[in-house]
Amino acid sequence: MAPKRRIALLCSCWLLLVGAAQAQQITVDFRDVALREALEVFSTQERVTFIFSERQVRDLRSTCAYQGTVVGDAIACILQGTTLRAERVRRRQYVLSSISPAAHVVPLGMIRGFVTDATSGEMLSGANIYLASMRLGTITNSAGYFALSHLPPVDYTVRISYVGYAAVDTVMAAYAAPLSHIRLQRITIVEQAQEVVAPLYEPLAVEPGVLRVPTGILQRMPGFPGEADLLNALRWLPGVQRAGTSTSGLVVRGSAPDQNLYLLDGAPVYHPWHAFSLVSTFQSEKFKDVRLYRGSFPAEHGGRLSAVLDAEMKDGNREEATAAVAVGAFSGRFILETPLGDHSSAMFSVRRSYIDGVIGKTQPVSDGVVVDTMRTGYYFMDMSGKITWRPSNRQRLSLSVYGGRDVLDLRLPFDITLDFTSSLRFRDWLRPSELFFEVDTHWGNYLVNARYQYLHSNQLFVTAALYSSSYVARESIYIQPVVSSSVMSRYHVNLHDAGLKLDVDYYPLLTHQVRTGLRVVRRIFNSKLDAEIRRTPGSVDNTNQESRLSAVELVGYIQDTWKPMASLQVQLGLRGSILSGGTRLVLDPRLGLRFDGGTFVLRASGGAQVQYVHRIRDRYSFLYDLVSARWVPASGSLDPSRSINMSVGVAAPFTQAITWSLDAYWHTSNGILLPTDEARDKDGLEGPGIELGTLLGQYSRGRARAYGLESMTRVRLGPWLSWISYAAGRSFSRTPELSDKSYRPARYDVPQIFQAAIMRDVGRFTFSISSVWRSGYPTTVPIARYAVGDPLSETPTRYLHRPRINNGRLPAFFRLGFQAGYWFTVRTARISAQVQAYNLTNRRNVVGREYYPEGDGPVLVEDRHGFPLIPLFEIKAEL
Amino acid sequence: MRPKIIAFLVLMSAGCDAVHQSSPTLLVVESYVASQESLPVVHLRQTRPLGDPYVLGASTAAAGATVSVAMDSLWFDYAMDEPGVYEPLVDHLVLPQAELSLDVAWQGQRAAATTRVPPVLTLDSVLVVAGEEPVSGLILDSLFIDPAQIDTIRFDSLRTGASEGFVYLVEVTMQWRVDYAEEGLDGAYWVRTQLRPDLADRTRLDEYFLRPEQLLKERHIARDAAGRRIWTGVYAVPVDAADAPMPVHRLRVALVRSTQAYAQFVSGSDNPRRREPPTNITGALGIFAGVSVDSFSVVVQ
Repeated sequence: MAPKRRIALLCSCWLLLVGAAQAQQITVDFRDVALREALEVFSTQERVTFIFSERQVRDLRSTCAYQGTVVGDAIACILQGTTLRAERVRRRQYVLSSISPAAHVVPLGMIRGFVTDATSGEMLSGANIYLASMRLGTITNSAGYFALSHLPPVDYTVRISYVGYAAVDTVMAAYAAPLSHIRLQRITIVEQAQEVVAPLYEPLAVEPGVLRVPTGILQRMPGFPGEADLLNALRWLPGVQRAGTSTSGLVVRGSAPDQNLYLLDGAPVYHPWHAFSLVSTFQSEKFKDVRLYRGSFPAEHGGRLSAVLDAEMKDGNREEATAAVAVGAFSGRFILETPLGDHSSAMFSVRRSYIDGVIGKTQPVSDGVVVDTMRTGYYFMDMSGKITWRPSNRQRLSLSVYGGRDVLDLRLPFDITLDFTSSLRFRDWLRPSELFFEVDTHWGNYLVNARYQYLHSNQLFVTAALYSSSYVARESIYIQPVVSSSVMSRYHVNLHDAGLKLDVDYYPLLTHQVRTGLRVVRRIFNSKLDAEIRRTPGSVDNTNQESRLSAVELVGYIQDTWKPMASLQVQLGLRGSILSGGTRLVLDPRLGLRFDGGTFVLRASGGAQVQYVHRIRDRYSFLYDLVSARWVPASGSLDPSRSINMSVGVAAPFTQAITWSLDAYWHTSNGILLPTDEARDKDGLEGPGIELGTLLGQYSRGRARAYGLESMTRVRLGPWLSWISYAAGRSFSRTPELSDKSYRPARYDVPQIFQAAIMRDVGRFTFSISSVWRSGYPTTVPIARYAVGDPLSETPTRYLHRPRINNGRLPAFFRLGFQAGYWFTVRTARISAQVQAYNLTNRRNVVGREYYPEGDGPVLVEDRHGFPLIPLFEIKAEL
Repeated sequence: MRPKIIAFLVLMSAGCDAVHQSSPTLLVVESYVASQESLPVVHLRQTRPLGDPYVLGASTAAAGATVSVAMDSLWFDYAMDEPGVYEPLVDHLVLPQAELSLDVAWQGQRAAATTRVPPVLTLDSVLVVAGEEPVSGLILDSLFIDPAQIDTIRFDSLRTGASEGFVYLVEVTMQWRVDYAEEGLDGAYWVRTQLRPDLADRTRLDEYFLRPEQLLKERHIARDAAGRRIWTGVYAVPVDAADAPMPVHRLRVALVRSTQAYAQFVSGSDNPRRREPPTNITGALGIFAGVSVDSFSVVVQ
């Protein structure tokens, strides 16, 4: 269609709409009727809402004759002769206020305050503030502050709610505008089951795309290895899964794990996993608020294509000192919260695995002649601390510290075979040997974050943060396969982010809430490799390489949350970013919509994202990049990854017992790095090295897309609490640089996932049963066998023909879990014990499949299986 | 009711996954062109489904094909001599740097490829140095567990597949001259070296920690004082005891100069269970490549 015709058509439509509006005639004819009655008649007739107090209209009467088309004029007519005037708040919504005799100006008021946990005094971020009379609400910011400004100065009935807490109804006066302190009481799962308004998770989230889960619920989620683990628990949410059966990163809506951003008190954590990704560094007990943004983020978040996990550590109990000690199957932990005087509080937690304590870090061994010491040390530990100082109601300063590391220290002979039948002592399986391997590998994250929050005025809230986050890994390997030969490798990776964040919340109008901010972060990416391969005393190869990269990223954003109607909220945002080193300014628009239809909520969101860092690893050598997370920045020669995400959804309570939500999403990305040779795996001694150019040579620029539907149903029946989620979706990738003509299933493409969990508390006992069924992961299935010879071999070698990557799928995965607990008190201590059965049915899920082309007979196929039934336990004491 | 059925179908179709695992029989070509030798023999085979046996010979040969090879715009016809083995009807010498084309028609499939013949390669010297006595060494079947597959570690055994024994280490140095200009694209040849002892017992120790073979760009290989390219490899000879003499065995030392197509083929053929070598043939699997091979056999004692 030609542009002129399109414009003409649009103008015609607009004129028709305007004409229709102008045609609506308003007729008012009141003769000395009570003003309240007049307002009610007019409200019904014209579908207009008035907000007023009984006191305002008492004893007032109205006389008015009006015929016209302007609602405002009609209302002015009704109010003429009274001491009241009407102010339009939004479309078809008016507030009555008294006319000031002096200046005829109505001063506007506001409602503002902080929402806190009644028990611990923690500020609650993301609590809902809802004015039922105006069908208008807001949420608290990261400091627990909220403000609704430009309100007519009357009393309002306000409901304050937060997931996992009992809702509070109260009356707040807008004319006085005091700084309110709302204290919410935490409730148990049983109480939540009886609570009509408190959802298990928030289907009616104000911010589109966000999932908030109360940490109390997360701690009840069953998962491996039976300990309170945030990232393990998140996979119970629709669209979230672990990349492996119980290991590897999180996959959100089919995207790769390196497309997720993990924030700890607003600072990034590059590798949030311990124990080869078995457990995460996010121990759920130390967090007060967890938000997971899937696909579309608000403008304040960015830097990754798929998801953002924003976890906020507790400030520490302000009322009384509390402590908890727990021992699980793999680790023990301790958490302490305490007030420090009237204005400060602190939280400290520590966790450490103890397997090295059980089997011993060192094993003295002897064969009667030679005495040696073998090493069998592995542990992970993390420590977190946060101190918060509140010099006044308007200011808060907090300092968060986190340090977590894994240490693997081995010296073992090669010919080791565990034989449980002969002895249960580990050292009995070992003996001195001239041929051994040593591994001394450390990796971990270290984070310091200072944050200052300041309520500058009723309408202006400022947050500034300065952080330093680093990821350090060191892999040292020494292998002695032959007395006269050895392999030595030392590999070091150091990523460091130093950043400044500034966020400003501005509440200019009742219908607008503006958030804007600035980020500056300097990133350093260093790695170093020193390797020596001594084949014979005279044949020695050395590799000494070093890579040093750095980049500065500058980000600015602005976002307006606009409520044009009582039922509609629009969140418009724009995020601009640029990286030093030759990339161009990138502007990412963001849009979120939420429509409240009374019995249902529609939500939609969309936006563009940019990711300036790529995660890569060498795919040849097993001497380096074994456990390290190595990232490299975009540059003039390496484009950043870009993505566009969109989602629409509906959430509705069927009954008071059943709440259901359905979301559809679509996602596309380009500029992502995909392996040039998918089948290439680390199976060699030598690799091309760690220099950026050679590493990038193992990857090609690719594209990906994903779409799907996610459904979540929560059912509360008496003491039973259950939720069922089903996700159907596909994710594909393609490498145009390799002449991929069509998309292929992506590595983590899972067409269907069904999960269900049931919880029940009976007195002091707690029970839960959980199950997950999903389609198997894609796999590359050979379709034929053939043979090709070589000039240096006498017989041709047999190969398997694999024309397309991920053309098949492993068998479906199913796992059932069971958890039972009991708690009792000893004086002031609450003791709880819990047992868990992971993979209760001992199903041998297929997690990999190997094909053997050798021989003249049919191709042999061998499956690799996941974890069997594993019993787990945990004992916890809370003081 | 109908909207619910439609919604259900949409949900289910989103979860459907089309899997294509069947394949028509494909043509497989194998032909290596050596300089200063006759026109190459062309081996034609066919693919077989995974469930079928794969016995080299008549059952896997591609019989009845029309094969022709062109050298310097002159086409030579071929005829099948043995099942799947096609030989030229006319004998002709292949000259170094010649451009050759292959054209095959078989059961409606057409395969075509081109290659350049590298310069002749001649081994200048081979030096074999064996250790005087055996040393303790690892006898290895498979050692390394992929960290990404840690889910699957068995709990009853670490199953490293390793045991200790004794090995003689044998160091072999080979030298050859380069008689062509190594500059520019024409000089971008690859060299594959190989030490192949004729031993009853082998150990995968060779592949992991020693160096019985290597694939390198020729111009990246070190030179000796006389300007010759020089390469040293090591292999292991397992023995039963610390005082056992080294078994007398025959060692074949081989050197191949090739184009990039053959180098990619070799690089991609190192793990047939996981991957297949890339093909340089349009319309078929396999390889059609110019090579220059020299080998030398020696008895090591």
